[in-house]
Amino acid sequence: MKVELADHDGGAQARISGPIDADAEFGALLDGRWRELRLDLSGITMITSPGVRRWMRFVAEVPAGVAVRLERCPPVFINQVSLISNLLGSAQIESLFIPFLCPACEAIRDVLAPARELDASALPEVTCEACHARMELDVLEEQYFSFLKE
Amino acid sequence: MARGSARVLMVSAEDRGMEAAGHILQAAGHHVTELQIGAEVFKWLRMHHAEIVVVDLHVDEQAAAAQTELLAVVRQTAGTDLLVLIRGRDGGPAPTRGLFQNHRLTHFLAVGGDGTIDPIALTVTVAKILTRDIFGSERYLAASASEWTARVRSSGERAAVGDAAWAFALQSKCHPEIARAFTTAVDELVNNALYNAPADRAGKPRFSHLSRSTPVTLSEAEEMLLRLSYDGRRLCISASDPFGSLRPAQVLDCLSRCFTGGEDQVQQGDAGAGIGLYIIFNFVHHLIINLVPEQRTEVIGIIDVGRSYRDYMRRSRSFNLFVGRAP
Repeated sequence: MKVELADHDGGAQARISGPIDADAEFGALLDGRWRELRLDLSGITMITSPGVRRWMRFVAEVPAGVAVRLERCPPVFINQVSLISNLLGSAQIESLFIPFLCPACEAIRDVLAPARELDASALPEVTCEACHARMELDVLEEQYFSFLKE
Repeated sequence: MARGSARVLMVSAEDRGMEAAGHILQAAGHHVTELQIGAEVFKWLRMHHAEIVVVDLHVDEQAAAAQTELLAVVRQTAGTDLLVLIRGRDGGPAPTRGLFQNHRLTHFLAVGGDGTIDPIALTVTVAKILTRDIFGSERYLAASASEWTARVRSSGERAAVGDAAWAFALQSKCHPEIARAFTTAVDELVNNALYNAPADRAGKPRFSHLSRSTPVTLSEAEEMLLRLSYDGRRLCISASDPFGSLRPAQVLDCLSRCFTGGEDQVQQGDAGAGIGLYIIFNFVHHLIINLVPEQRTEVIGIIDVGRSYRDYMRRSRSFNLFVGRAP
Protein backbone atom coordinates (compact mmCIF):
# COMPACT_ATOMS: atom_id res chain seq x y z
CA MET A 1 0.00 0.00 0.00
CA LYS A 2 1.23 3.47 -0.83
CA VAL A 3 0.27 6.72 0.96
CA GLU A 4 0.94 10.01 -0.84
CA LEU A 5 0.51 12.71 1.75
CA ALA A 6 0.15 16.50 1.47
CA ASP A 7 -0.61 19.24 4.00
CA HIS A 8 -3.85 21.05 3.24
CA ASP A 9 -4.46 23.92 5.70
CA GLY A 10 -3.45 21.82 8.70
CA GLY A 11 -5.32 18.79 7.48
CA ALA A 12 -3.84 15.80 5.72
CA GLN A 13 -4.80 15.18 2.12
CA ALA A 14 -3.67 11.64 1.34
CA ARG A 15 -4.04 9.33 -1.62
CA ILE A 16 -4.02 5.67 -0.68
CA SER A 17 -3.31 3.16 -3.42
CA GLY A 18 -2.51 -0.52 -3.88
CA PRO A 19 -3.65 -3.43 -1.73
CA ILE A 20 -4.61 -2.87 1.90
CA ASP A 21 -3.08 -6.01 3.34
CA ALA A 22 -0.81 -7.17 6.15
CA ASP A 23 1.83 -4.64 5.10
CA ALA A 24 -0.50 -1.62 5.17
CA GLU A 25 1.08 1.15 7.24
CA PHE A 26 -0.98 4.16 8.39
CA GLY A 27 1.52 5.63 10.85
CA ALA A 28 2.08 8.84 8.84
CA LEU A 29 -1.59 9.70 9.30
CA LEU A 30 -1.49 9.21 13.06
CA ASP A 31 1.37 11.47 14.14
CA GLY A 32 -0.92 13.94 15.91
CA ARG A 33 -0.32 17.01 13.74
CA TRP A 34 -3.44 16.71 11.56
CA ARG A 35 -6.75 18.40 12.39
CA GLU A 36 -8.52 16.47 9.64
CA LEU A 37 -7.75 13.51 7.40
CA ARG A 38 -9.07 13.57 3.84
CA LEU A 39 -8.30 10.23 2.26
CA ASP A 40 -8.64 9.58 -1.46
CA LEU A 41 -9.21 5.82 -1.65
CA SER A 42 -9.66 5.53 -5.42
CA GLY A 43 -6.35 3.70 -5.89
CA ILE A 44 -7.15 0.78 -3.55
CA THR A 45 -6.96 -2.50 -5.47
CA MET A 46 -7.80 -5.06 -2.78
CA ILE A 47 -8.59 -5.33 0.93
CA THR A 48 -7.59 -8.62 2.51
CA SER A 49 -8.55 -9.84 5.98
CA PRO A 50 -5.21 -8.74 7.56
CA GLY A 51 -5.81 -5.43 5.76
CA VAL A 52 -9.27 -5.17 7.31
CA ARG A 53 -7.68 -5.55 10.75
CA ARG A 54 -5.01 -2.95 10.03
CA TRP A 55 -7.57 -0.49 8.66
CA MET A 56 -9.84 -0.94 11.69
CA ARG A 57 -6.90 -0.43 14.04
CA PHE A 58 -6.05 2.74 12.13
CA VAL A 59 -9.54 4.28 12.34
CA ALA A 60 -9.72 3.34 16.03
CA GLU A 61 -6.39 5.10 16.72
CA VAL A 62 -7.31 8.39 15.06
CA PRO A 63 -7.26 10.98 17.88
CA ALA A 64 -10.63 12.20 19.12
CA GLY A 65 -11.70 15.38 17.35
CA VAL A 66 -9.89 14.55 14.11
CA ALA A 67 -12.45 14.06 11.35
CA VAL A 68 -11.73 11.32 8.81
CA ARG A 69 -13.35 11.96 5.44
CA LEU A 70 -13.19 9.25 2.80
CA GLU A 71 -13.26 10.46 -0.79
CA ARG A 72 -13.56 8.69 -4.15
CA CYS A 73 -14.23 5.34 -2.48
CA PRO A 74 -13.98 2.54 -5.05
CA PRO A 75 -16.34 -0.48 -5.20
CA VAL A 76 -13.69 -2.71 -3.64
CA PHE A 77 -13.88 -0.55 -0.50
CA ILE A 78 -17.65 -0.05 -0.48
CA ASN A 79 -18.14 -3.83 -0.75
CA GLN A 80 -16.08 -4.40 2.37
CA VAL A 81 -18.04 -1.68 4.18
CA SER A 82 -21.22 -3.65 3.45
CA LEU A 83 -19.69 -6.84 4.88
CA ILE A 84 -17.74 -5.56 7.91
CA SER A 85 -19.98 -3.75 10.33
CA ASN A 86 -17.40 -1.50 12.02
CA LEU A 87 -15.08 -0.88 9.11
CA LEU A 88 -15.82 2.84 8.96
CA GLY A 89 -15.52 3.57 12.65
CA SER A 90 -16.12 7.31 12.94
CA ALA A 91 -14.97 7.96 9.36
CA GLN A 92 -17.43 9.49 6.91
CA ILE A 93 -17.81 8.55 3.26
CA GLU A 94 -17.83 11.80 1.29
CA SER A 95 -17.93 10.41 -2.24
CA LEU A 96 -17.87 7.03 -3.95
CA PHE A 97 -17.73 5.36 -7.33
CA ILE A 98 -20.90 3.62 -8.48
CA PRO A 99 -20.71 0.90 -11.18
CA PHE A 100 -23.00 1.35 -14.19
CA LEU A 101 -23.61 -0.93 -17.17
CA CYS A 102 -24.84 -0.05 -20.66
CA PRO A 103 -27.71 -2.43 -21.54
CA ALA A 104 -27.12 -1.78 -25.26
CA CYS A 105 -23.37 -2.27 -25.74
CA GLU A 106 -22.40 -3.68 -22.29
CA ALA A 107 -19.86 -0.94 -21.66
CA ILE A 108 -19.13 -0.45 -17.98
CA ARG A 109 -18.31 2.74 -16.13
CA ASP A 110 -17.76 3.74 -12.50
CA VAL A 111 -19.40 7.09 -11.84
CA LEU A 112 -18.26 9.34 -8.99
CA ALA A 113 -21.09 10.65 -6.79
CA PRO A 114 -21.20 12.62 -3.54
CA ALA A 115 -22.55 10.44 -0.73
CA ARG A 116 -24.65 13.14 0.87
CA GLU A 117 -26.84 13.50 -2.21
CA LEU A 118 -27.49 9.81 -2.57
CA ASP A 119 -30.66 7.98 -1.89
CA ALA A 120 -32.38 5.23 -3.81
CA SER A 121 -34.50 7.66 -5.83
CA ALA A 122 -31.77 10.16 -6.64
CA LEU A 123 -29.05 8.21 -8.38
CA PRO A 124 -27.18 10.02 -11.15
CA GLU A 125 -28.41 9.61 -14.70
CA VAL A 126 -25.57 8.22 -16.76
CA THR A 127 -25.21 8.07 -20.54
CA CYS A 128 -22.98 5.55 -22.28
CA GLU A 129 -19.98 7.28 -23.81
CA ALA A 130 -19.81 4.65 -26.55
CA CYS A 131 -23.41 4.34 -27.79
CA HIS A 132 -25.22 7.13 -25.87
CA ALA A 133 -27.79 4.74 -24.38
CA ARG A 134 -28.89 5.33 -20.81
CA MET A 135 -26.75 3.20 -18.49
CA GLU A 136 -28.18 1.09 -15.69
CA LEU A 137 -27.04 0.75 -12.12
CA ASP A 138 -24.83 -2.36 -11.93
CA VAL A 139 -25.05 -3.08 -8.20
CA LEU A 140 -27.70 -4.19 -5.73
CA GLU A 141 -28.82 -0.90 -4.17
CA GLU A 142 -29.74 -2.39 -0.80
CA GLN A 143 -26.29 -3.91 -0.38
CA TYR A 144 -24.08 -1.29 -2.04
CA PHE A 145 -25.64 1.71 -0.32
CA SER A 146 -26.13 0.02 3.05
CA PHE A 147 -23.61 2.46 4.61
CA LEU A 148 -26.12 5.28 4.11
CA LYS A 149 -28.33 3.75 6.81
CA GLU A 150 -25.58 3.91 9.42
CA MET B 1 -31.11 -50.15 -5.23
CA ALA B 2 -28.36 -49.60 -7.80
CA ARG B 3 -24.88 -48.75 -6.53
CA GLY B 4 -24.46 -45.01 -6.10
CA SER B 5 -28.19 -44.33 -6.04
CA ALA B 6 -30.09 -43.35 -2.94
CA ARG B 7 -33.56 -42.82 -1.59
CA VAL B 8 -34.09 -39.08 -1.44
CA LEU B 9 -37.01 -37.41 0.33
CA MET B 10 -37.73 -33.94 -0.99
CA VAL B 11 -39.79 -31.71 1.28
CA SER B 12 -41.22 -28.53 -0.14
CA ALA B 13 -42.80 -25.67 1.74
CA GLU B 14 -45.42 -24.82 -0.87
CA ASP B 15 -47.07 -25.90 -4.10
CA ARG B 16 -44.39 -24.68 -6.47
CA GLY B 17 -42.23 -27.45 -5.03
CA MET B 18 -38.87 -28.47 -6.30
CA GLU B 19 -39.74 -30.07 -9.61
CA ALA B 20 -36.45 -29.15 -11.27
CA ALA B 21 -34.35 -30.53 -8.42
CA GLY B 22 -36.48 -33.69 -8.31
CA HIS B 23 -36.04 -34.30 -12.04
CA ILE B 24 -32.29 -33.80 -11.83
CA LEU B 25 -31.93 -36.31 -9.00
CA GLN B 26 -34.21 -38.85 -10.72
CA ALA B 27 -32.16 -38.50 -13.89
CA ALA B 28 -29.06 -39.21 -11.81
CA GLY B 29 -30.61 -42.53 -10.77
CA HIS B 30 -31.92 -41.66 -7.31
CA HIS B 31 -35.31 -42.72 -5.97
CA VAL B 32 -37.11 -39.51 -5.16
CA THR B 33 -40.19 -39.05 -3.00
CA GLU B 34 -41.69 -35.56 -2.95
CA LEU B 35 -43.88 -34.35 -0.09
CA GLN B 36 -45.16 -31.02 1.10
CA ILE B 37 -44.17 -30.07 4.60
CA GLY B 38 -46.67 -31.22 7.24
CA ALA B 39 -47.68 -34.20 9.31
CA GLU B 40 -47.32 -36.49 6.29
CA VAL B 41 -43.55 -35.92 6.26
CA PHE B 42 -43.06 -37.00 9.86
CA LYS B 43 -45.24 -40.06 9.25
CA TRP B 44 -43.16 -40.94 6.17
CA LEU B 45 -39.92 -40.56 8.11
CA ARG B 46 -41.19 -42.96 10.81
CA MET B 47 -41.98 -45.64 8.23
CA HIS B 48 -39.14 -45.24 5.70
CA HIS B 49 -35.48 -44.49 5.53
CA ALA B 50 -33.97 -41.83 3.28
CA GLU B 51 -30.24 -41.42 2.82
CA ILE B 52 -30.79 -37.73 2.09
CA VAL B 53 -33.61 -35.35 2.91
CA VAL B 54 -33.74 -32.25 0.73
CA VAL B 55 -35.65 -29.35 2.25
CA ASP B 56 -36.81 -26.23 0.44
CA LEU B 57 -36.20 -23.70 3.19
CA HIS B 58 -37.81 -20.28 3.11
CA VAL B 59 -35.09 -18.29 4.73
CA ASP B 60 -36.52 -14.96 3.68
CA GLU B 61 -39.44 -15.39 6.05
CA GLN B 62 -39.73 -16.19 9.71
CA ALA B 63 -38.68 -19.82 9.85
CA ALA B 64 -41.87 -21.76 10.27
CA ALA B 65 -42.00 -24.02 13.31
CA ALA B 66 -42.62 -27.01 11.07
CA GLN B 67 -39.45 -26.31 9.12
CA THR B 68 -37.34 -25.97 12.23
CA GLU B 69 -38.85 -29.14 13.68
CA LEU B 70 -38.23 -31.00 10.42
CA LEU B 71 -34.58 -29.95 10.31
CA ALA B 72 -34.15 -31.12 13.90
CA VAL B 73 -35.80 -34.49 13.21
CA VAL B 74 -33.70 -35.13 10.11
CA ARG B 75 -30.48 -34.25 11.88
CA GLN B 76 -31.23 -36.69 14.66
CA THR B 77 -32.00 -39.52 12.24
CA ALA B 78 -29.06 -41.89 11.94
CA GLY B 79 -27.86 -42.48 8.41
CA THR B 80 -29.76 -39.53 6.98
CA ASP B 81 -28.06 -36.40 5.69
CA LEU B 82 -29.68 -33.03 5.23
CA LEU B 83 -29.41 -30.82 2.15
CA VAL B 84 -31.24 -27.51 2.14
CA LEU B 85 -32.23 -25.54 -0.94
CA ILE B 86 -32.58 -21.79 -0.48
CA ARG B 87 -34.01 -19.06 -2.63
CA GLY B 88 -34.13 -15.32 -2.18
CA ARG B 89 -37.12 -13.06 -2.54
CA ASP B 90 -37.70 -10.79 -5.54
CA GLY B 91 -34.58 -12.00 -7.28
CA GLY B 92 -32.28 -10.84 -4.47
CA PRO B 93 -29.83 -13.09 -2.66
CA ALA B 94 -31.19 -15.31 0.08
CA PRO B 95 -30.00 -14.17 3.51
CA THR B 96 -27.61 -16.79 4.82
CA ARG B 97 -26.99 -15.49 8.33
CA GLY B 98 -29.68 -17.67 9.94
CA LEU B 99 -28.44 -20.77 8.15
CA PHE B 100 -25.28 -20.69 10.23
CA GLN B 101 -26.61 -19.09 13.41
CA ASN B 102 -29.90 -20.89 13.83
CA HIS B 103 -29.51 -24.11 11.93
CA ARG B 104 -25.73 -24.65 11.67
CA LEU B 105 -26.27 -26.07 8.22
CA THR B 106 -23.38 -27.80 6.49
CA HIS B 107 -25.05 -28.15 3.09
CA PHE B 108 -27.17 -25.56 1.32
CA LEU B 109 -27.55 -24.79 -2.37
CA ALA B 110 -29.04 -21.72 -4.00
CA VAL B 111 -32.16 -21.96 -6.13
CA GLY B 112 -33.07 -19.24 -8.61
CA GLY B 113 -36.27 -17.27 -8.17
CA ASP B 114 -37.79 -19.33 -11.01
CA GLY B 115 -36.95 -22.62 -9.28
CA THR B 116 -33.87 -23.40 -11.35
CA ILE B 117 -30.90 -25.02 -9.69
CA ASP B 118 -27.40 -25.75 -10.94
CA PRO B 119 -27.67 -29.44 -11.91
CA ILE B 120 -23.94 -30.00 -11.53
CA ALA B 121 -23.83 -28.55 -8.02
CA LEU B 122 -26.86 -30.63 -7.01
CA THR B 123 -25.72 -33.98 -8.40
CA VAL B 124 -22.13 -33.54 -7.23
CA THR B 125 -23.28 -32.55 -3.74
CA VAL B 126 -25.56 -35.57 -3.42
CA ALA B 127 -22.86 -37.92 -4.77
CA LYS B 128 -20.30 -36.55 -2.32
CA ILE B 129 -22.69 -36.87 0.62
CA LEU B 130 -23.36 -40.48 -0.31
CA THR B 131 -19.86 -41.66 -1.14
CA ARG B 132 -17.69 -39.46 1.12
CA ASP B 133 -15.37 -39.25 -1.88
CA ILE B 134 -15.05 -35.51 -1.55
CA PHE B 135 -11.87 -34.10 -3.04
CA GLY B 136 -11.40 -32.42 -6.41
CA SER B 137 -12.78 -29.30 -8.07
CA GLU B 138 -12.88 -30.76 -11.59
CA ARG B 139 -16.29 -32.35 -11.13
CA TYR B 140 -17.90 -28.93 -10.64
CA LEU B 141 -16.72 -27.70 -14.06
CA ALA B 142 -17.01 -28.58 -17.72
CA ALA B 143 -14.32 -31.00 -18.90
CA SER B 144 -12.91 -28.39 -21.27
CA ALA B 145 -12.01 -25.96 -18.48
CA SER B 146 -8.73 -24.09 -18.79
CA GLU B 147 -6.47 -24.36 -15.78
CA TRP B 148 -3.54 -22.73 -14.01
CA THR B 149 -1.83 -24.49 -11.13
CA ALA B 150 0.89 -23.59 -8.68
CA ARG B 151 2.56 -25.23 -5.72
CA VAL B 152 3.09 -22.56 -3.07
CA ARG B 153 5.60 -22.97 -0.25
CA SER B 154 6.61 -19.48 0.71
CA SER B 155 4.97 -16.19 1.67
CA GLY B 156 7.38 -14.56 -0.80
CA GLU B 157 5.38 -16.11 -3.64
CA ARG B 158 2.12 -14.37 -2.72
CA ALA B 159 2.54 -11.32 -4.94
CA ALA B 160 3.28 -13.41 -8.03
CA VAL B 161 0.34 -15.70 -7.28
CA GLY B 162 -1.91 -12.64 -6.88
CA ASP B 163 -0.77 -11.25 -10.25
CA ALA B 164 -1.41 -14.64 -11.87
CA ALA B 165 -4.89 -14.87 -10.33
CA TRP B 166 -5.77 -11.37 -11.53
CA ALA B 167 -4.60 -12.17 -15.07
CA PHE B 168 -6.43 -15.52 -15.02
CA ALA B 169 -9.71 -13.90 -13.95
CA LEU B 170 -9.46 -11.18 -16.60
CA GLN B 171 -9.16 -13.85 -19.31
CA SER B 172 -12.78 -14.71 -18.56
CA LYS B 173 -13.73 -11.12 -19.54
CA CYS B 174 -15.56 -10.80 -16.24
CA HIS B 175 -16.31 -7.44 -14.60
CA PRO B 176 -13.12 -6.01 -13.00
CA GLU B 177 -14.78 -6.08 -9.57
CA ILE B 178 -15.39 -9.81 -9.98
CA ALA B 179 -11.72 -10.23 -10.92
CA ARG B 180 -10.80 -8.31 -7.73
CA ALA B 181 -13.07 -10.55 -5.65
CA PHE B 182 -11.49 -13.64 -7.24
CA THR B 183 -7.97 -12.34 -6.58
CA THR B 184 -8.82 -11.45 -2.99
CA ALA B 185 -10.26 -14.92 -2.38
CA VAL B 186 -7.07 -16.46 -3.79
CA ASP B 187 -4.95 -14.29 -1.48
CA GLU B 188 -7.05 -15.31 1.53
CA LEU B 189 -6.67 -18.99 0.67
CA VAL B 190 -2.92 -18.73 0.13
CA ASN B 191 -2.54 -16.92 3.46
CA ASN B 192 -4.66 -19.56 5.13
CA ALA B 193 -2.53 -22.39 3.74
CA LEU B 194 0.74 -20.68 4.72
CA TYR B 195 -0.16 -19.32 8.16
CA ASN B 196 -3.27 -21.03 9.58
CA ALA B 197 -3.05 -24.58 8.26
CA PRO B 198 0.47 -25.69 9.28
CA ALA B 199 0.44 -27.58 12.56
CA ASP B 200 3.03 -29.62 14.43
CA ARG B 201 2.64 -33.33 15.25
CA ALA B 202 0.61 -32.49 18.32
CA GLY B 203 -1.79 -30.48 16.17
CA LYS B 204 -0.58 -27.15 17.55
CA PRO B 205 -0.62 -24.29 15.01
CA ARG B 206 2.89 -23.28 13.97
CA PHE B 207 2.43 -19.91 12.32
CA SER B 208 -1.09 -18.66 13.03
CA HIS B 209 0.21 -16.28 15.72
CA LEU B 210 2.52 -14.53 13.25
CA SER B 211 1.74 -11.31 11.46
CA ARG B 212 0.97 -12.04 7.81
CA SER B 213 3.89 -9.79 6.94
CA THR B 214 6.34 -12.18 8.68
CA PRO B 215 7.95 -14.47 6.08
CA VAL B 216 7.24 -18.20 6.33
CA THR B 217 8.46 -21.12 4.22
CA LEU B 218 7.03 -24.63 4.22
CA SER B 219 8.80 -27.85 3.32
CA GLU B 220 8.12 -29.54 0.00
CA ALA B 221 5.80 -32.05 1.68
CA GLU B 222 3.80 -29.21 3.23
CA GLU B 223 3.24 -27.03 0.17
CA MET B 224 -0.23 -26.02 -0.90
CA LEU B 225 -1.64 -26.86 -4.30
CA LEU B 226 -3.51 -23.98 -5.90
CA ARG B 227 -5.62 -24.63 -8.96
CA LEU B 228 -7.49 -21.90 -10.87
CA SER B 229 -9.99 -22.98 -13.51
CA TYR B 230 -12.43 -21.43 -15.94
CA ASP B 231 -14.93 -23.34 -18.05
CA GLY B 232 -16.53 -20.51 -19.97
CA ARG B 233 -19.12 -19.89 -17.30
CA ARG B 234 -17.51 -20.42 -13.93
CA LEU B 235 -14.27 -19.27 -12.35
CA CYS B 236 -13.01 -21.72 -9.77
CA ILE B 237 -10.32 -21.67 -7.09
CA SER B 238 -9.15 -24.84 -5.38
CA ALA B 239 -6.65 -24.56 -2.53
CA SER B 240 -5.45 -27.77 -0.97
CA ASP B 241 -3.08 -28.33 1.95
CA PRO B 242 -1.82 -31.54 3.61
CA PHE B 243 -2.67 -30.56 7.20
CA GLY B 244 -6.44 -30.91 7.61
CA SER B 245 -6.29 -28.58 10.59
CA LEU B 246 -9.59 -26.78 9.94
CA ARG B 247 -12.35 -28.06 12.21
CA PRO B 248 -16.00 -28.25 11.11
CA ALA B 249 -17.23 -26.57 14.29
CA GLN B 250 -14.60 -23.85 13.86
CA VAL B 251 -15.89 -23.11 10.33
CA LEU B 252 -19.52 -22.84 11.46
CA ASP B 253 -18.64 -20.80 14.56
CA CYS B 254 -16.59 -18.41 12.49
CA LEU B 255 -19.24 -17.86 9.81
CA SER B 256 -21.95 -17.53 12.44
CA ARG B 257 -19.93 -14.95 14.37
CA CYS B 258 -19.01 -12.96 11.28
CA PHE B 259 -22.58 -12.85 10.00
CA THR B 260 -23.74 -11.50 13.36
CA GLY B 261 -21.67 -8.40 12.63
CA GLY B 262 -21.08 -7.55 16.28
CA GLU B 263 -18.06 -6.12 18.05
CA ASP B 264 -16.28 -9.47 17.74
CA GLN B 265 -16.85 -9.80 14.00
CA VAL B 266 -13.24 -8.90 13.37
CA GLN B 267 -10.88 -10.15 16.04
CA GLN B 268 -7.46 -8.57 16.21
CA GLY B 269 -4.80 -11.24 16.14
CA ASP B 270 -7.34 -13.74 14.86
CA ALA B 271 -5.88 -17.22 14.55
CA GLY B 272 -7.35 -19.89 12.36
CA ALA B 273 -10.64 -19.45 10.53
CA GLY B 274 -11.59 -15.83 10.93
CA ILE B 275 -12.83 -12.92 8.90
CA GLY B 276 -10.95 -14.31 5.88
CA LEU B 277 -13.33 -17.25 5.55
CA TYR B 278 -16.29 -14.89 5.79
CA ILE B 279 -14.81 -12.70 3.04
CA ILE B 280 -14.30 -15.74 0.81
CA PHE B 281 -17.88 -16.93 1.46
CA ASN B 282 -19.21 -13.56 0.34
CA PHE B 283 -16.89 -13.17 -2.66
CA VAL B 284 -17.74 -16.51 -4.29
CA HIS B 285 -21.12 -18.03 -5.15
CA HIS B 286 -20.37 -21.53 -3.95
CA LEU B 287 -17.94 -22.26 -1.14
CA ILE B 288 -17.04 -25.91 -0.64
CA ILE B 289 -14.81 -27.09 2.18
CA ASN B 290 -13.56 -30.66 1.94
CA LEU B 291 -11.61 -31.98 4.85
CA VAL B 292 -10.18 -35.05 6.44
CA PRO B 293 -9.05 -33.96 9.90
CA GLU B 294 -5.28 -33.94 10.31
CA GLN B 295 -4.76 -35.15 6.74
CA ARG B 296 -6.02 -32.78 4.13
CA THR B 297 -8.11 -29.66 3.57
CA GLU B 298 -9.37 -28.47 0.23
CA VAL B 299 -11.26 -25.20 -0.09
CA ILE B 300 -13.07 -24.60 -3.38
CA GLY B 301 -14.64 -21.30 -4.40
CA ILE B 302 -16.77 -21.01 -7.53
CA ILE B 303 -17.95 -17.78 -9.14
CA ASP B 304 -20.63 -17.84 -11.82
CA VAL B 305 -19.32 -15.04 -14.02
CA GLY B 306 -22.71 -14.05 -15.45
CA ARG B 307 -23.52 -11.01 -17.52
CA SER B 308 -23.02 -8.15 -15.10
CA TYR B 309 -21.68 -7.16 -11.72
CA ARG B 310 -25.26 -6.80 -10.47
CA ASP B 311 -25.93 -10.43 -11.46
CA TYR B 312 -22.85 -11.45 -9.51
CA MET B 313 -24.10 -9.59 -6.42
CA ARG B 314 -27.68 -10.83 -6.73
CA ARG B 315 -26.96 -14.55 -6.87
CA SER B 316 -27.60 -16.46 -3.65
CA ARG B 317 -24.68 -18.23 -2.04
CA SER B 318 -24.23 -21.99 -1.73
CA PHE B 319 -22.17 -23.79 0.87
CA ASN B 320 -20.96 -27.31 1.57
CA LEU B 321 -18.81 -28.62 4.37
CA PHE B 322 -17.79 -32.22 3.74
CA VAL B 323 -15.88 -34.36 6.17
CA GLY B 324 -14.62 -37.33 4.21
CA ARG B 325 -12.43 -40.34 4.19
CA ALA B 326 -8.73 -40.18 3.54
CA PRO B 327 -7.86 -39.75 -0.16
